[in-house]
Amino acid sequence: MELERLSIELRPRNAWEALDLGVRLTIQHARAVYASWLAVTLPCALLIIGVFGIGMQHPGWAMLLMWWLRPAFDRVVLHVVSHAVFDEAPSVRATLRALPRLLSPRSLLGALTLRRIGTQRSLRTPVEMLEGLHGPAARQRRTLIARRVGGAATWQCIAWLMLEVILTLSLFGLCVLLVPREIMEQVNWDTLFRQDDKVRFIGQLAMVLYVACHLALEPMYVAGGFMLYLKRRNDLEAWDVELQLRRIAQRHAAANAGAALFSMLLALCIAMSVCVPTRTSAAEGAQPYTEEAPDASAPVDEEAPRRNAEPEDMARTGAIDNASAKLKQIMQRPEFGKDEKHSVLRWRNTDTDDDKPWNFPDWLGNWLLGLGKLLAGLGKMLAALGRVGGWLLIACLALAVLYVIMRYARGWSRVARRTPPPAELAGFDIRPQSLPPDVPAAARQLLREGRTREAMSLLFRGALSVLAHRDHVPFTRGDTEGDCLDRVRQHANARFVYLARLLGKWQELAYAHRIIAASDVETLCNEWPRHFAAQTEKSHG
Amino acid sequence: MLDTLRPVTTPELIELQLHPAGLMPRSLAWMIDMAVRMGITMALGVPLSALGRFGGGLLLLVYFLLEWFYPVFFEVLGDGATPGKRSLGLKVLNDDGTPVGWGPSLTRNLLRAADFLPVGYGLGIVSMLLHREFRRLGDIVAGTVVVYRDALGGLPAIANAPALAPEEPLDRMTQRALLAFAERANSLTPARQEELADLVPFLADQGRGQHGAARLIGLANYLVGRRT
Repeated sequence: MELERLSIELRPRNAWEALDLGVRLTIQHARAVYASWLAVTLPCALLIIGVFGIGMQHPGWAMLLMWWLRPAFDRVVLHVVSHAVFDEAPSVRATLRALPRLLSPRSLLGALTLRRIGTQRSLRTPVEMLEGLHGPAARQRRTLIARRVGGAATWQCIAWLMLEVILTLSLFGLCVLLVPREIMEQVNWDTLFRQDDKVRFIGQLAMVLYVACHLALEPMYVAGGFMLYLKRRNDLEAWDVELQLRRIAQRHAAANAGAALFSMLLALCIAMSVCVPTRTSAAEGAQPYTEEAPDASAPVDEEAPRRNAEPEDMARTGAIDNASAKLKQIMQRPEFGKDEKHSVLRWRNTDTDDDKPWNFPDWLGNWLLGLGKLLAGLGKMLAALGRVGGWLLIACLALAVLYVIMRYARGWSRVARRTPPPAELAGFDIRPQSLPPDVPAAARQLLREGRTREAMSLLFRGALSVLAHRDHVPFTRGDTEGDCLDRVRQHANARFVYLARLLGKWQELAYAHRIIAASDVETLCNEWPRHFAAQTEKSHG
Repeated sequence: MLDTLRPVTTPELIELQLHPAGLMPRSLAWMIDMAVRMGITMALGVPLSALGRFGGGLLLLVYFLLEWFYPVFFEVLGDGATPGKRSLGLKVLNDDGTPVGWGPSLTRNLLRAADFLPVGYGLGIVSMLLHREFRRLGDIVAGTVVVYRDALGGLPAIANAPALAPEEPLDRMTQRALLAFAERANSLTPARQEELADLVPFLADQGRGQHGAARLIGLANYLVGRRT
């Protein structure tokens, strides 16, 4: 098997994803898959419906027979799909030619009798059909393949069966919807199922719809089983890893070849460079002998480079002349843009339309009237729903207004809004208990020890702490130093000027790394108590 | 290459892969949700029926709310998944990979009415079968997609082995292949491991067979950082 030619992405995927991929594969190759599938099954289905369903009046038997023959039909899909994963979906003709091999009595006998009942058929058929094993080996292989993904195969069997039924019902519902209202009104539902001919008609309609759904869905089911099989093989044999390793090996080989070429070139260059000096030395050695005719050799030497240059120049000018044409040629490649076709639906101008006047047939008119009535009923229902929705909307609006009012009310009463100040602000710990009792004294002490930075930070920290705890400036946790200053301006304007000065000095020191004069710090220390001191003592005492 | 993924590029130009979920798991999830809803309605029906016609009215209201808002409630508040979706490992996302909000969730669930047509989600089934990301009409309109929550069933584990430093720096493709090999090695037979290792003798230090496979796993251990 040539993994490089696979047209599906190999990767570890879960079982459901494999089933989904089966659906995608069928849709991708819908034309090939359905052409071959219908070419084989449609005649059979019509025959069965004709003989059993309509001829013998037993639609149930026809459906049962169609269901029973599935393993045979599935092989057709499997044949197409297993080629489609290599992008080689066979034509109808090729499929029909392969039919005798696909439906050989020997392989079908078991599939249609002993192994017919079983929920993992979609997974087992590929093993039987593609691996061509027989006897105990085949049984062992089937068990191995079904080990991890058997559950998914069972679920897909159940689910597709239900989907077929649901889709049949859906189509049935569509048919009922399309029956004109006048006729529906005449139907007497009480006696409907006691009238043999009508029951038979309904049974036959159900049969046809069921078979149609079956024909539409079965390929996806088979492809899902096949993808599940491929997923299991990929899990067991790590095809995706093999592909990756192969690619590396190829690149390695190419690189090796390149390296060999490069070293050859290098060797050649070295050889040349060794050769060239020997030639010049030979020329030097020959010089005395050619000196006898210097006039003859000189013009030749002068002309030689010019002659060499001329074709080069010509080539260059030629290339420049051709450039625009070549550019155009390049720009026409698909990667530089392409023609796109958009189709748009527009009203035709009816004036220019000189079709014959078209008579409105009565049945269509009645039908449209019925549809109109139906729509009117639907409209009434929607109106009722809308009324309910309207009340709900009003209730929601009222709630929203209430919420807004509550929010602003909380804003108006300042007391309710007061929250405890944060423990940390702009990176400073501002809890009062973290501060020394006399902040300026401690700062002066630090200053004396030469730790200006710590002194300034203590002053600023102390100031923020007092502002937060005593003056109740509403700092929030994420405030930066600038934010703090803004809030102080709004809520404790008297302290603003001092704090701005303090912050300015602090920023100069901390961020701009300028040296602050000790006298400045001293001044700040002296002024600090005027703004913050008394109350600090209070908060501590 | 045919696959079922949906690539999504974030504003940082990182490409993510969503794994859209198809008809099969979604219909099973729907059935579980259906059973849950019916269970709730029936459980409420017994006490409410004691209230006479008023109880009947209440039950209809409950039914209405369950029918239309049960999925919305769980999709927005329950990490994108109703109980049924959760049990099948599915969740709803916006098609750019962000969690689904009230608007899209309401849209996709109110449009169930369209998917339900003509009877029994006929249009929804057809749409999911034909759409390349398995979306039903509601999903297409709301811009949502149902994905597998954990497509690969947990984080990959690399077999533990003494780390081996490569002799020369490995490019990204080689690193990826080595890691893939080491992640899968536990589920492969020894014979298959050797077969794979023999494809790249230059990485396995010309070590053939079992020695080569062990070397590749050692290199992978080095790549994931088990270097002590």
